[in-house]
Amino acid sequence: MENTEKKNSVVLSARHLKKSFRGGDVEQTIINDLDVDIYKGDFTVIMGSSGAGKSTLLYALSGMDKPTSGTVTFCGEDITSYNADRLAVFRRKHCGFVFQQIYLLDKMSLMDNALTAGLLVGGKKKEIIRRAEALFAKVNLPEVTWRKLPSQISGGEAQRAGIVRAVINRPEVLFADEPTGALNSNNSDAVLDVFTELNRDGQSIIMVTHDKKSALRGSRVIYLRDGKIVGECDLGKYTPDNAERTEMLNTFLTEMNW
Amino acid sequence: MKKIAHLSHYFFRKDKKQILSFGFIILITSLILNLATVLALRIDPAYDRQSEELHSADIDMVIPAMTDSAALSNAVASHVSVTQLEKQRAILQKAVMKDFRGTDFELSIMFYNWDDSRAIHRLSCVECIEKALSGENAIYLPLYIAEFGEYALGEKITFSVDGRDFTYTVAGVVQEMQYGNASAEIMGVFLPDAPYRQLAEDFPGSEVVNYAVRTVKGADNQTVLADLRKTAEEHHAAVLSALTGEAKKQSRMMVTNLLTMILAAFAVIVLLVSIFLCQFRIKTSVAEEMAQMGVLQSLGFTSGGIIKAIVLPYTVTALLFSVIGAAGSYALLPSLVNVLALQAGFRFEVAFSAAALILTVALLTAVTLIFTRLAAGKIHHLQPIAAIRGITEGKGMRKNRFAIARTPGGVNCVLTLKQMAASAQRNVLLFAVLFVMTILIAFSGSLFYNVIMQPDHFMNTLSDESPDVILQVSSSDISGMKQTVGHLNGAEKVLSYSVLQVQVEKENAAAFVCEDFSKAQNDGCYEGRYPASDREIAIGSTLAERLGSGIGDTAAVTYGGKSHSYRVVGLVQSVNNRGEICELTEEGFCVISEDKIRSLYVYLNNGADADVFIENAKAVFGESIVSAVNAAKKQSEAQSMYTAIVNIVIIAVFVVTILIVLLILYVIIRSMITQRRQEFGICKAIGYSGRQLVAQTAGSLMPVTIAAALSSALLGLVWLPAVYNVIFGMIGAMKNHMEQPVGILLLFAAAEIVVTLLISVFWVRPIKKIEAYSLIKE
Repeated sequence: MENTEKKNSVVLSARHLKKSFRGGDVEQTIINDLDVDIYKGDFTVIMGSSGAGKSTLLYALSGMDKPTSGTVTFCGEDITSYNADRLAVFRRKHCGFVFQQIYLLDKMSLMDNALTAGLLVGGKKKEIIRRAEALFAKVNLPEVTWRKLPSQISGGEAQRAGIVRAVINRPEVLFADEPTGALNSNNSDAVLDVFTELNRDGQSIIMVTHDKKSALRGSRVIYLRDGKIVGECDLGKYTPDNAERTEMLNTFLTEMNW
Repeated sequence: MKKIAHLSHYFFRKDKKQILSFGFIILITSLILNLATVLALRIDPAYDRQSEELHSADIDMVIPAMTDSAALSNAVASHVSVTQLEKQRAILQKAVMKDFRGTDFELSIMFYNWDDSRAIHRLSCVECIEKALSGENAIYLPLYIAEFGEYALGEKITFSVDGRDFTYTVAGVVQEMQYGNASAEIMGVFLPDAPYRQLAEDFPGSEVVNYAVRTVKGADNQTVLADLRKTAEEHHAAVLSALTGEAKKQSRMMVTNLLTMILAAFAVIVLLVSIFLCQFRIKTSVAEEMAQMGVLQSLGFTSGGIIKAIVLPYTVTALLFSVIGAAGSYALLPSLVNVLALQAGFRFEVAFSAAALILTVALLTAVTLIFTRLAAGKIHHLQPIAAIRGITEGKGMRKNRFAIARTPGGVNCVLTLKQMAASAQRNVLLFAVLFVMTILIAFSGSLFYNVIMQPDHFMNTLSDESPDVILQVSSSDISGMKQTVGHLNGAEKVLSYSVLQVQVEKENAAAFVCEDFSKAQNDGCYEGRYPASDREIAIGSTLAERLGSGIGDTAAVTYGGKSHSYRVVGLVQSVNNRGEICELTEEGFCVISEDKIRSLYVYLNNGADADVFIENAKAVFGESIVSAVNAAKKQSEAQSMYTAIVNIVIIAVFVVTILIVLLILYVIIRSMITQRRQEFGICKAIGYSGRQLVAQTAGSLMPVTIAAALSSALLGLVWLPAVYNVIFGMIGAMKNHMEQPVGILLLFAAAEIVVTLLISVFWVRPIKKIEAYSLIKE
């Protein structure tokens, strides 16, 4: 019964996924015949050593990058056949992105960064502005901050603004590529708290990280090696502060030779 | 030096395409500038050389043969400024040249004796049939009549003199420098001895003597001519026609000088564009390479060294492309020179001009060096560590312009505005370039309107009164005939109008006599008004200057030995007669002449055929009509030539504008894409499609484009009249009829905007290829 429920709630699914890059005469395969399902409401964490293909997998699943072969289906629809413009529409409607380098548009205020994404999908401008304001409040960025330009705020504030931009369109899946990689400890915790709260509200998240502390926030950890999933750990049954959760992740990562 | 060369090579490779775009603009500038310089440096001396080779006179003065005397020639020859005198006999007649470029062309013709030897005004045979045709029907034509009138060797040419036709066979085409072109209204042709004598017998008393005079170097020929006129008067000889070498040159070289001036102005405009471009590119390059500059400084490169390395590729490119452009201009010169030669009435070969090349190349290279050096000056103030960190003055001062929440409109529209506001420097460049290019567009738009759509505006400025048909009549009942002509099918209006030669004070002038100037079509009165009573006169600009007379003064007019003084009420222009005219009412003319005006100017209804009208008139009046000239056809022929030139100008302006806009936008958009590559990647990651980004980016250039094009086009309303005043003023037309139609100017500006939009979209397309994923890869 539990398996059937899970199968019905698959948001993203990859089959025989392969991604390789050609450098001169040499072809390097980053993702190799990979199958994976991402479930609705899960906080999926992708871990692995450097070069394992974590980010490549994340961007292949999100339609940001085209796989060499294999399929990625979103809610049952094959997105690998989409052209660039259709993929853009897919991303704006169904995906949110949080990057390690944040990538806010530097000539725009934080509010404008959020609205640039928010207004893209359509809807009433006033409503979207109100939604953005609510989200800024949720990530603890007051008006005085969201009126500023990215160059005038701290990295943690910028990343929280990045999260607002990512979730303003209520995406099906939030993709985060090492979102705390460029932040200090305090700012990392603040960002991870936002992720946890979003997930608690039902937001599906896929996050790439090689930080154990960040991974602990996830409900499911996938471990990648040489472009293949070599292990998976279910942390969902434990509450976030549970010591067993930490121990289970430690054991899993030890098994994975992390 | 080697290090700087290496660094320079790096900067060139990095900006290769943009530097080459700059190079192409320099190439265009050089091509136009060298054309103008070669024309300015070569053609004028070629004219003088040709004139000297043919030993041309500095002054020609024509008097009736019967009033010529040895005493007069002695007096002329003994003038302190006269170095040589040759008297040349000829027959002077007002004649209609048939089938001149497909129409009839009336002007004063000097029929010379081909067999007379000449020391002054020698003739050089361009192409002549020797012996075989030089019988009694042969004629030798000057190059201008042969080429412009389209008479080939061996073809027939007919002159209608006083109602009689004289047909000759063209036996030769000669190069002469004795007369101006058609606008001088007097030309010379050459008949062998037998037909010359026959013509002299046919028109006894029409023989004249041309005093061909050479003067000392540096003499004021206008003053000398005035002295000679006085001498002629003292010897009771009426001067029928007088021309100085300068007046002839001005008449023949008018189009060449105008074209040279336009080309030079064109080159300056394109040069301005290239200056804007290299300044913009260097400034943006410095901004893009800020960190690199810092690294280079930290490695020990001096600011001066880096500046040299940046400036060098632009300077070398300017040097190379200006040489290529100047060389390329020689491919266009022959066809351009052929058109000008037709106008100038003499052939000249365009030889390579080292001076023009050096001038063009040195100017373009120096200007590039100076302005690139100025643009790169900012590097002097860079601190290595600040540069590496990308900290530049004012970076923290950036504002969130066009806040999305507060700006009305869709997100794509607001993002377009944001992109537009992102770079003041880019906007200034684009505005400046399009503003100056629109100056050219507006000029061609105005020409298009005034020469092609409303040709009367242009033709009326250059020509005198232009009816559709001119009838010379012999009937004594002119007024009755006028009434009947007015009732003929197609006639809208008939005026008694005639052009005669008179003397105003001591000056020869063409007198335009009209029954009522208020009914005439062409308004050439630029000050005061036309004469309205028998006591009034209007005089031409040159005449007014020579007489030192103005409105309110009196001027004595002599015709047929009878004189009368009139009050000057207006100043009038006449390009064809170089301002040597006066205008009298028919009543006023009757005071000094008992002759009635025997010429009727007929204006036809729209759509009426002048040839059909002439046939009808001849059928009705028979031999009462001495000659009938289809003036509309003559005007239309002249107009077709100007239309062709204007079409070439319009096409050339559009081609050059498109090329320049193409290159400028390439540099601007390429800089935008380079600077904003990451931003485009972020937008794609968020979900913006390639099409949206293309539309935003191309659209961001449009407000500035529209503002520049429209403001420049509308400013044309102010500056175009001033330009026309200068251009037409140079050829003696103080008043022009050129209008500045707002609609046409805006239409041309709109065409430019559309072209700019299309080019922008074309260059912006690479944005589509920027992948969101490239953000991560980078």
